[in-house]
Amino acid sequence: MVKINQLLAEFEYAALHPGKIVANWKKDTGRKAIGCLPIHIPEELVHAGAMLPVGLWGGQTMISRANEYLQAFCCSVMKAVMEFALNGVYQDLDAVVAPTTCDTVNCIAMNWRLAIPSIPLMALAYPDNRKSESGIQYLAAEFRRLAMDLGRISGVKIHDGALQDSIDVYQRRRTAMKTFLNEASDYGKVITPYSRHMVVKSSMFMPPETHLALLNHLTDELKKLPKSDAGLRRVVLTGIMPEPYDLLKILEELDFTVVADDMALGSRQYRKEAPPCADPYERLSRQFADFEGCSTVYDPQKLRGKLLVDMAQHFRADVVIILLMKFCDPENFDYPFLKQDLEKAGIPHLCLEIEQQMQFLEQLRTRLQTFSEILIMKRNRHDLTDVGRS
Amino acid sequence: MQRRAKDIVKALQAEYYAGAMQAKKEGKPVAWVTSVAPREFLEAMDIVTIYPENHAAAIGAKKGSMEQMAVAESLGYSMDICSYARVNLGYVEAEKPAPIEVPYPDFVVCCNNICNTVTKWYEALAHRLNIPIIMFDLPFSHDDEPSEHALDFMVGEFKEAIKQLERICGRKFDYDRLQKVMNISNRTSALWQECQQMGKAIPSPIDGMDMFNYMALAVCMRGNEKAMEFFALLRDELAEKKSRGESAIGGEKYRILWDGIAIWFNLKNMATCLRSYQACMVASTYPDIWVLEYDDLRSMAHAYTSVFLNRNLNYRVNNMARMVKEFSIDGVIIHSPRSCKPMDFVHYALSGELRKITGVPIIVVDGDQTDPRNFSEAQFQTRVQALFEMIEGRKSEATIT
Repeated sequence: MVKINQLLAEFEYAALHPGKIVANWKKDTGRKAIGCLPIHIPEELVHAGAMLPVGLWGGQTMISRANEYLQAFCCSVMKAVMEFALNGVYQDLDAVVAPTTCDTVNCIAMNWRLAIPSIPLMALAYPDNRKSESGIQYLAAEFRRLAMDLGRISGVKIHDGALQDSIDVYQRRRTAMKTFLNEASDYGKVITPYSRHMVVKSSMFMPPETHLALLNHLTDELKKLPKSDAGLRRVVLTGIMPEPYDLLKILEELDFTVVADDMALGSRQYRKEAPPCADPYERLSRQFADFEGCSTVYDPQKLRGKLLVDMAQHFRADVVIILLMKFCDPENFDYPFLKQDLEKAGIPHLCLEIEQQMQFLEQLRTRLQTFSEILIMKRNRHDLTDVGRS
Repeated sequence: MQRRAKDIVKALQAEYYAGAMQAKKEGKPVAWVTSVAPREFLEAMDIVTIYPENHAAAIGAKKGSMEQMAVAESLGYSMDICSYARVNLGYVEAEKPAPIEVPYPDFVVCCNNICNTVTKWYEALAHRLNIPIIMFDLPFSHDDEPSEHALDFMVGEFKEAIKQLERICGRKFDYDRLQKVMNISNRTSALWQECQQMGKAIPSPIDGMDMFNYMALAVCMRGNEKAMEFFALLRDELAEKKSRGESAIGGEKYRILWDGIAIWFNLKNMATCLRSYQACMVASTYPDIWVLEYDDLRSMAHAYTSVFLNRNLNYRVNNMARMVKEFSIDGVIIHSPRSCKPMDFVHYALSGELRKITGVPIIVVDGDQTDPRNFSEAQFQTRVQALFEMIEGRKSEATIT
C-alpha cells in the first residue's frame, strides 16, 4: 500500500502542477513544449517532433480578464483556458495546437491569435466525414501540414519512422491505461474517484514514457492486493471532465466507485487503437475514422448511447452519472439520446450539470446522496427478492 | 414601386411553403437542409427543400417559437443550445400545429460551413426520424484561404453526395440540370449582390430590415428562376429609387451596418426604433452570406466554404472594415444572439479590432434569433441610444478639429 500511495502521489503531483512539469522538462531536455487544446490532438506528432505535448483543460481560477473576450454563457473550461493564457500561465509553451472541436474552441483559437501573439497557434481542422476515403486522405493531409508546422517550431523535421515510433509509444500507453482502468474497477477502496482522475489527468502533462512506466508499476502493485470494492456503488461517468475535484471527493464520501468512464478527459482518449499502416499520417487518420462515442465527433447513428449502455452492463454499474458541462453544446445535444438509451436499457442514471470552477457543491451532494439512498433501497429489495427465490 | 417587390416576396414565400406541402402529397422527395448548403444538387434532382432555420425564423416572427421550444426542452434539450434547433427539434415532436407548417423530410442535408451546431442538430434529426443524412463537410479554416487538400476533400464529397442522392431518389443524377441550376444560382447571387450594393448610395434606396425579408428567397430558392426574376425586379426598383435620390426610410440621417442574425421576433420594433433616429441599416454581413458565385465544382466548394462563419477573425474584421468604408457607415450594431455561440464568442474581439481600424462607433447588443426570453426591448433601445450619442459625439469632435 505504501508503494501504491507513493505512486498515486506522483500522478497527483503531475496532475496538479502541469506548469512545473513543463518547466522542469524544458530545463532538463532543452526542448520545447506544445499546448494542446481539447479534445482530440494527435500528440504523437508533437512527440515525434521531440517536444512535450501539454493538454490545456482549464483549471481552478477566478475568471476576470477572459470576460473581455467571452460572455458569461461560455463553457467554463474554455474560459479558464483564456484566463490562464491572458495571465501568462502558459508562458512556457512554445506554441499551441487548436483542433476544430466545437464552435467554442474555434472561437477560443481566434481570440488566442489576437490576444496571445507571443504563443503561435496552429489549427487542425477535423472532418465530419471521416470514414470516406476522401475524408481519410484529407485528415492525413491535415496531419502532414501540422507536422510541418510543428517541425518548424521544434527545429526537428518529423520523419515517417520517428512518427511510427511515437505512435507505438502512445499505443503502448493506451493499452497500459486501459489495463489499469480495468483493474482499478475492482479496487474502489484503493483507487478512489479522485486518484483515478489524477492518474488519467497526469497523462495530459507527463512525457508518455514516464507516465507509461509509472502506470505499469501502479497496475503491478495493484494486482498484488486483494480486491476491495465491497459495499461500494459502482458508477460509470460520462461527460467532458469530472471536475471540480471536490465533486470526486463527494463521490468517495458517499461510497461511489468509478468502475469505468466515457469522459473526454478520460477513456475517450484511450479507446481506439491506431491500425497498422505504412503511412503514419494515414495510420492516425484511420484511427480517427474508426473512433466512436464522442459528442464532438460526427456520430449520425448515435452510437455513443449504445456504447455507454454496453459499458455500464459490462462493468455491472449500479448507475451512470452524466456530468453535463454547462454551456457545452455537443454534450447538451447528446443528452436526450443518452437519457433515452439508458432508460430503454433500464440503467439508473443521474444527470448533474457542472462547471469547472463551481464552488458550491452542496446541491450536487444532496442529489447524489438521495440517489445513493434510492440505490441502496433498490438493492436491498432486490436482495430480498433473490433470497425469496432461493 | 417598392411595394411591388415587397408583395412579390410575400407571395413567393407563401407559394413556397404551400408548394412544398402539395409536392409532399404528390410523393416528391422532401429534404430538410441547412441554410448555406449547396442546394444546387438538390434542385437538380427536383427535390423539395425546406430550411429549418428559415422555418424557425418564420415561426419566431409569428411569435410561435415558445411552444416549439418548450417541447424540445421537455425532451432534455438545454435552453443554452441554438434556439433555431430547439424550435425545429420541438416541431418534429409537437402534437399541436405550428403557425407555419412544412412537410416532414425523407432525408436531411447538413452543411457545417455555418457552425458545428448543425452537425449535432442534423445528427439528432436523422436519428430521431430514422432517415438518411447527407453531410457536406466543409472544414473550418483558421487560415485566410482554404487549403488545396481541403478543396480536394470537398469536391470528393460533392461526388459522394451525388451518389447518395441517386440512391435516395432511385434515379440517375441529372448533370445537365445541375449546370442550369448552377447558372441560375450564380445569376440570382449576382443580382442579390447588386441589390445589396445599392446601399452604398447616399441616401440608400434599400433598408436592411427589408433585406432580411428578401434574404429568405436567396436562402430557399437561389437556383429557382422565380427567385432570379424577383431579384432582377428588385434591382430595377432600387436602381430607379437611387436615380431619384430617394431614401428607403424617407429621410436618412445615419447609416448603420448590422452584424449577426436578425432578431426575427422583433424586426418591426427594431425598424421603428432605428427610424425614430432617421437611421437606415444600409448594409449587413448576414444577408451577404447568400452571395455565392462560382464556375465549377471546385470553385463552388471554395464559395461555400468561404462564408464568413467558416473563416477566421482576420477575414471578418477586414470584411467589415471594408463595408464601413464602402457604405459610408456612421455606426455598427453587432447582435450577439444568446444561443449562437460561434457568433457570440468573437464579437468582443471583432468590435475591438473594427473600432481600432475604422474608429467607427460600435455597440454589441444582446438578443436572440428566435428565443424572446433572451431579449430585452428596453435594453436594446438604451444601447441603440448610446450608439447615436457616440455617433453625434464623434461628428462634433470631427467638426472641432
